[in-house]
This record gives sequence, structure tokens and C-alpha cells, in this order.
Amino acid sequence: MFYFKIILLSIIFNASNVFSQKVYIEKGNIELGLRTTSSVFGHDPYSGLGVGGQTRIQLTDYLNTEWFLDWITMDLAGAGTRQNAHVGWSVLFYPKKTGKFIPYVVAGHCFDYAKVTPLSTPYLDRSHDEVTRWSSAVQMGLGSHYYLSDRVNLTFSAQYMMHLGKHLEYDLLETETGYYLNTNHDQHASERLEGHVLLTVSLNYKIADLW
Amino acid sequence: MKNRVLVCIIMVLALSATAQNEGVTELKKEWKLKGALSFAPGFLRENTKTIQLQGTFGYVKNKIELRGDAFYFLNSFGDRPRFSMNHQLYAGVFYKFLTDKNFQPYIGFQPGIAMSQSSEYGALNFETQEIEYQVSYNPVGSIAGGFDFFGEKWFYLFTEARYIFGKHTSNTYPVYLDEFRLSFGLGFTL
Repeated sequence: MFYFKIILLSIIFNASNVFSQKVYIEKGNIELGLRTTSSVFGHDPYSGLGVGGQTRIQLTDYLNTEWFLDWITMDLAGAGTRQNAHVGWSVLFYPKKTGKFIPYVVAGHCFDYAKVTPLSTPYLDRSHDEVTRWSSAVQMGLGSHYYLSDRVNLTFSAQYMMHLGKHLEYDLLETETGYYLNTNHDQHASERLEGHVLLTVSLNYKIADLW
Repeated sequence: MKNRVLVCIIMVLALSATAQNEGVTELKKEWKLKGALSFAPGFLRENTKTIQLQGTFGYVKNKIELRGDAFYFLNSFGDRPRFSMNHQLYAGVFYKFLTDKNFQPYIGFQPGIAMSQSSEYGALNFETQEIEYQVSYNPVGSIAGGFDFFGEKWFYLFTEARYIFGKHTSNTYPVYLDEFRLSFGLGFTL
């Protein structure tokens, strides 16, 4: 019986060593990162590619904040270009803080600048048909960090962003020679909800542990 | 009493095993800075080649390299030299294999931004009645792989291949920025 207890204790101690997972995220962590974003399932049936940066300030062991900036461009079927700038912040909620994989739920708010530029040619100047808009948006989704080392993590997130405010008045019309981008400077455009999915991959580096 | 002594011995052994693991981790915490300047030829579709001046700066620690790259577009040749400007700036992370050897292969991903201008497609400016070629800023991404060879204390040789993807969008027709690019040269390390 005595030897059985010894073996059992030994197994428990060894198991605790094997399964004790390292803590990668802690309150006070400050991270800097770069991100690439793809915008899909939005107003237009085309995807956009974006680049941006972010900083993370972790308030508690299970709650982080992310402050980001994105620049996204989209080709509208060769008939024009849409450009979007996002500047905003998100809150990340962690269910756990150990292990290399750390999933999270994310929700936040951002300001959005959008510009739609119709195609001009050597014979036609359509710069006066350009439409722009500032709006506000909220976003939420899921993500996960994967720690490549103590300080570096790779993060993937999928968020649905919902724009609040006036929408941009433009349509892609199919013609015999291709698509035509029709824009409308309507200052009284109705307010409606417009959303899209943002898929983001980011690389982040922990620069400090402040508290 | 005998039992307690045995339990204590097991606990001490278990703790010492943990402490040894931490010691190994501590030893691996070495870092270095890298910098290099080189020429980088690029290959586009339709039998077109480009040449860039590349500057790179990296920070390496525990098999991970954080690296920024700048490409200054010099010229393009071939059947369809489509850009008169295509400067690019990248930053990202690389994973290095065999960091205890002189020969160190690596692979990584870098998002970036391109400052580009089409040489093919311009648009009419109604006020000046001239054709203008707009310079625009477009997101790009690149997947890269290569190897460093650390021969001397301060210097290293490198060869790298990367695939760049993105699209030049402006006020006129879009043009793909996709390119296969090679670079090789001599770098300086601290």
C-alpha cells in the first residue's frame, strides 16, 4: 500500500509538470503588431485586401484592448475602386491565459472613411463622380492567438463589421462592354445598416510588461 | 517518518526537473540585429522583368526574426513593363530553422504597402486636358523563403525568393502587382 501511494504521488507530480502550461498573456502586456486584412461579403461581390497596424494594451489577465488602423482597397470589377480606412478599438475577452493557442471573443467600435472612384479613361474624366463618406461602425467576432515564442504571436480573427450611418450611393451596372459604376452624390441618402466580414491575420510583438 | 522523507525526495526531484527546463530556455535567449542592402530582380507575367534596390533590417531571437524590407523600384524591361513606379515597404516575421548552424534556412510572411504608378493607363484631367498617371498606395502581401549563411562574426550571405500579391488600383484601370522576386547579397550582423 505504501509503495502504491509513492507511485501515485510520483505520477501526480510528473503529470503536473507535463501539463503545467506556460502563461503567455498577462495584465500589463503591451504589444505592437502589423496586420493584413481581407474584406468579404460586403456591399460588393468582390474582396478587398488591406494592410494596417495595431497596438494591444492588456488591462487584466483575461481582458485585452486592441487599437488598430487599416487601409483596404478593392477593385470593383475594373469599373472603379473602393478605398476604406478604419481606425478603432476592440476589447478581447480570453477564456484562458495558458498554452500557445489562446482563443478569444472580440467586440469593438471604429470610425470608417470610404471613397469610391469610378474609372476614368484618356477620353473621359469622371473625377467629379467620386463619392466619399465618414461613418461609424461596430464589430464583433472570434479570434485566436498562437504564440511562436514568449514575445511573438500570430493572430487570426474573423469579425463582422456593421456600419452605422448614411450609405454610399453607387451601383455596378452590367453593360455590353463590361461593368459601369454609377455613383450618386445624394446628401439625403437614407441611413441603413451595411456590413461586411473582416478576416485578419496579424503578427504581434510584446514590447513591455507595465503592471 | 520514512514515508515523509520519500515524498520530499520525489517533490524535490520533480521541482528540479522543472528548474532544469527553465534553465535551458534561459540559455536560448540570444538575439542579434541584421542589416543588408542588395539588388533584387523580379519576374512578372508576359515576359517582363524588374530590378529593385532592397534594404532589409531584422531582429532575431529564439528562431524568430522580425524583419522590415524596403524595395526601391529602379526599372523594368520586357514585353510589358507596366509600372513607372512600384516602391514597396514590408514588415513581418520569419521562422528560422537550424539556428545553431551557420547555414540557416527560413520562411516567413510580410504584409506591406506599395506606392505605385501605372505606365500604361492614364486618365484625362478635364481641367488641364492632359493625361495623368495617378500614384496610389495599395496593400500587398508576400510569402518569402531563403537562407542565411553566417561565415564570419559580422557578415552573412543570403539568398531569398518571394512571391508578392496585390493590385494597383487608382482612378483608372487596375493592374496586378503580382511578382516573383529574388534577392541575394551580403549582410551585416551585430
